[in-house]
Amino acid sequence: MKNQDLIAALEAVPEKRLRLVELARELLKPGGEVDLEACSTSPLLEEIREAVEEAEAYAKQTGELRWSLARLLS
Amino acid sequence: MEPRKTALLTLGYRFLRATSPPSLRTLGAWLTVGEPYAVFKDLVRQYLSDKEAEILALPHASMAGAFSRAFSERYFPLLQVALGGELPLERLVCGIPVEVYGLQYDDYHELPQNRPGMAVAALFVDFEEYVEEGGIRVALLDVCRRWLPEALLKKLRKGFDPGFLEFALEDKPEWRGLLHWAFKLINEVGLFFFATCMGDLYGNSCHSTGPPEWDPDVVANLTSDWEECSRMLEEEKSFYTWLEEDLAARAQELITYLEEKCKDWQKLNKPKT
Repeated sequence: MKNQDLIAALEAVPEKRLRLVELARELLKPGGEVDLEACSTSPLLEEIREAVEEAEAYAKQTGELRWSLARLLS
Repeated sequence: MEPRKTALLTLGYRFLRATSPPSLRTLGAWLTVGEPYAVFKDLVRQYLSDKEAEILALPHASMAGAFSRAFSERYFPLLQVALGGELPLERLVCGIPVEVYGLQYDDYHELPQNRPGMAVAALFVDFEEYVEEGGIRVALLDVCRRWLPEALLKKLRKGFDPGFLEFALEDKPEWRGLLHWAFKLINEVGLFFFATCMGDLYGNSCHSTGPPEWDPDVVANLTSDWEECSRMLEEEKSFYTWLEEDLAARAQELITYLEEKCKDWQKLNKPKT
């Protein structure tokens, strides 16, 4: 694979906005401490759980991609 | 790649390296604290409702410690209070981190290092058949040589059977502390706090059960168990203090009494012809 093709393929990967990062922005107080009251309410508890699962899956897939790229380039 | 894009990526890379933003795993750990916190709030409401506002207003890192201290004063001792540290809230909600006092293997080996009253009192008890490894009594006798004359040590070479001590000390409430110590040494106290050792709950072996679950009935049972244990501990302490006032004289007084009682015990246990 040519470098240019690889860069083009990577550029074609759509942007992914993780809900976990959005939630962190919403649930961290200005001082950086977690808003425990908000985090412990039942609808958000479920949302956080799903967001963590999504982030874990994303991290796993990114890891696999990184491993594949490293193999390709070696 | 365009030079502008490369420059932006380099800038972004340098910024991320310099500011060390939290990893996704860290973010996840921060936000999932809501789950144990919800359980923690229920525990505070259930067991320390009068302190709810005070505890929940504290910074996150101090909440579990404040709860444990207040809980230990009102019910029974929790682990972190005894260790003087802070147990994480996430661990606190997993089960009651109860502090237990049952003797473990190492505790027997440390008997000679205990306060003098405790070490001398242990000599009065024949507990060796309950401990796997011998030699503990030899070390105890050796350390007690500092306080007791050889003639006394000779009489305590084996110690007294706990069953006999129970009979002999029946009408001696001031010496009941010795009896409690004797039954702890042979692990025959039917109270959770003395019958359970730390390894039973928190050890790494497959036999460790983990802490008991947060349940009002369990808390009530442990509280009543602890009341009895506290009373026993007080009696033990007061016995050691009495003994330590003059170790040789008090040990001699005790032996004289027990030897006298031995005659009654032998008469009682004499086989009928």
